[in-house]
Amino acid sequence: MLRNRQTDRRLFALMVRCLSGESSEREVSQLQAHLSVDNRTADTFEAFSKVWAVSDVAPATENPDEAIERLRELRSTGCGASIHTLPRRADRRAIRTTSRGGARYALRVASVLAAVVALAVAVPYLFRSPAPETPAPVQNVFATARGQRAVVQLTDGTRVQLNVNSRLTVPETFAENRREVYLEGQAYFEVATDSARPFIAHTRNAAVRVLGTTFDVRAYPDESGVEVVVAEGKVLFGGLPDSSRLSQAVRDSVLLEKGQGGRLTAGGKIVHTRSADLRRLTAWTHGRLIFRDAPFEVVSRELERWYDLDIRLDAPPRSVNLLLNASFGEEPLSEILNAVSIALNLEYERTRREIVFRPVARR
Amino acid sequence: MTLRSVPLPKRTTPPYGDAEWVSRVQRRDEEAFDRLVEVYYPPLVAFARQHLGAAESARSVVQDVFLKIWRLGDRWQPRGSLRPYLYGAVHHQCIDQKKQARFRFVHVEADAESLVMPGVGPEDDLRYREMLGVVQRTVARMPERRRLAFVLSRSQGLSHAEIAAVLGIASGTVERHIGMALKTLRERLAAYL
Repeated sequence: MLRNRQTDRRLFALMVRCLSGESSEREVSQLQAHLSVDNRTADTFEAFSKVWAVSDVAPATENPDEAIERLRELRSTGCGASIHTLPRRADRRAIRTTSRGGARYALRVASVLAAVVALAVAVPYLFRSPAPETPAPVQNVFATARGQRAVVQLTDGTRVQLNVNSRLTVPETFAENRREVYLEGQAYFEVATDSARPFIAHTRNAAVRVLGTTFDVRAYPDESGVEVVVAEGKVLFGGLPDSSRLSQAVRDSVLLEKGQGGRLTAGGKIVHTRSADLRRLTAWTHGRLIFRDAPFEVVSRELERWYDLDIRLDAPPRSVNLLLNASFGEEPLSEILNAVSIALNLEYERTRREIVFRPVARR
Repeated sequence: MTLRSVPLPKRTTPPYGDAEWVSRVQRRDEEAFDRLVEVYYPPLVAFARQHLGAAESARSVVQDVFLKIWRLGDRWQPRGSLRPYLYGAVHHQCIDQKKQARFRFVHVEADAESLVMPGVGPEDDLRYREMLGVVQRTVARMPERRRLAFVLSRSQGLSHAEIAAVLGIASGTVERHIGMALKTLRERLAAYL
């Protein structure tokens, strides 16, 4: 059969349409006619059919049940940390400040809207078991930048919410007798129960050892000390110079129960709080930033991390002697900066991501 | 070789017509919403993975899209048919996500074991696995639009017009992308055909 390129092209288009279920009855019979009289076309079509048959690279294998369940939860509670672009109802919050001298100001600030970027992070999909000879386990590092939060799902079922500017290092495969992760920054752990393999969250100078529980660890390198608060279950909290001395560390540890908190000071002491402010310490997991009697340095450090800003105070250090008590949600940054300024009796100037605060000029 | 032996993508029969489904979800009918997730979540996650690589981010993006719909209630006004609308929403959410992310998303190849080909005997198994590997690597290296158009057609069974609406390109372009994808795959698979 005589053919030219144009016929080839037309036949190929016909094949594509037939394979992808796009062809009309007429097109099908046209192709059929070619196939029956022209061996070359028949061979070509057979080859493309085989290619088509093996090329389902994105089959819908996901089980929807878990998602249905999770979405049920989210729509009843109205909160969800992995939501990053959803417009949420802005609510009004009272902001009040306390001065160190005891005088109180109260002011209402219109809805403060923090567009918190809660970013769901990639977890490598395939965690294959390593070959028996594999030496040191491969470590996966999940890191958030300033202004980013993340949810990490670990292979053992543990769910970790990672706060802004934090790093979580997880071995690709956990050891047989323990699950160890390394944290810099702040994270909220919902640990899957596995009594045969305790879960240990290490920070630079502390460790939290648990057997299936929910807790928050805060260990930013630019803050002194490590803070832990327990939402569910029990944890052992202790200073831990190196993981080989685990048993020693466990002996020196403090048992923290539900609702309790612990703080490892820079000096290596553990302060045990019987009733920790769980709501404030874990507010970030719901996209909220809560300040309680917070001096300017704390507010500024927190805002820098949360919104990826560079904040400077154009005044002598410690010259701002007001403390901030505030709860921010999803308000725009400008409103938050206004609220902070009013509360701390400051003015600010903003150039993109750079903010300079200075005391209100006296007139 | 007859046309009948060509496997066409499976399509799930939806429990409601588009209009009824939309209006039920607008009224926050939980049952209708759950069915929406049940029918569309698995293919949408598979599609989002073509954007984001990792399964966990894909799941989270698709769940966000569903939650957004729920929260909108009667302000949810999808234009056109439901299926291309949902794929389009996921497509845009994935693009946003990639813009926001300062993470490096690593493209992870699908697990060959999860891809089942019916009627393949054990003796063909190894050969089939090899072919799959070639297919996955080839598709992963295609330009993004081509890869997405091909996957939406081959794995998700969307029509060319639907794909055009999702990706915001002309229907003829969709057909050319699928054709080019097939040609490339045929070249790479030449040894097995």
